[in-house]
Amino acid sequence: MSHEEISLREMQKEWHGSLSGYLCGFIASIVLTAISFGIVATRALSGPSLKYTVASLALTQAILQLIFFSTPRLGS
Amino acid sequence: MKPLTIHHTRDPNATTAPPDSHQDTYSKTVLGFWIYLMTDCLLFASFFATYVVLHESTASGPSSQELFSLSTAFIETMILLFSSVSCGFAMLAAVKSQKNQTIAWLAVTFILGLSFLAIEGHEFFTLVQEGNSWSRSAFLSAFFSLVGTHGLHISVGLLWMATMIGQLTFSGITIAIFRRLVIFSMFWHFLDLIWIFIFTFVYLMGVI
Repeated sequence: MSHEEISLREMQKEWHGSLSGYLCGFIASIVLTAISFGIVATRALSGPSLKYTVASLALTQAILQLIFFSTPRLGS
Repeated sequence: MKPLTIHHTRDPNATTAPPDSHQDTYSKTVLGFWIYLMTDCLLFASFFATYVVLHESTASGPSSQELFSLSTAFIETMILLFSSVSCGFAMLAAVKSQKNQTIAWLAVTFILGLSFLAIEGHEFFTLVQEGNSWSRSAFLSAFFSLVGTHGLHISVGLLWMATMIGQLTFSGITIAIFRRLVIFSMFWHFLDLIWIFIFTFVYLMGVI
């Protein structure tokens, strides 16, 4: 194996993504988006409580995506 | 008199190999790209702030309640989410050096990104045709700036993906190409993240 190939293997090993991680992030995102959409479409809540709920659902989804989808970590 | 002898002992744990220059370039690229993404965050934050301030400034033109379609925005969200995951699947194949699978998943991501852009383009076109262009009101200027900047990023991402598919076809998975794939996936996931907020703060809040 050449030096280049060894370096490539090292980089590939350092990459943190996994199938289960992607699927978890995916399902969580679908569920959260559907809840937001459902609440607004059916007007299940009203006024400020509706806005705060939808905003916190978006924030939750963003944090979950950061955890599940941001795979290259710095350092080792 | 005994001759003086010096014993050279080697530390068995000392590494004699020079530092890996590829590894160094890789970490620097990833760090640099994180910094770029954070500056892009500032750009989008400014556009979001502007939009929120100008949301009600419709200059007696149509408001967001009259213009936005929640179902279209929902479909766009789902398309972008699927494309984010297919981009992840391309990376899972790239890590195993499976060239053809990487290309196939990138192609899926490309088609999903293109469909997203087509739907958005259609939405923009309809708005302009009905006389509700960016020059209609401050609200519409802010809307087109924010959502248009995101769409521009998606277009750049599509160009990047097409280039990567070409490079993969001709060179396979090399160090440089793997590095580019890693930062591309960061870029694409980042755009999905920004879209969550556009969906929530522009479309969902817009129809309330």
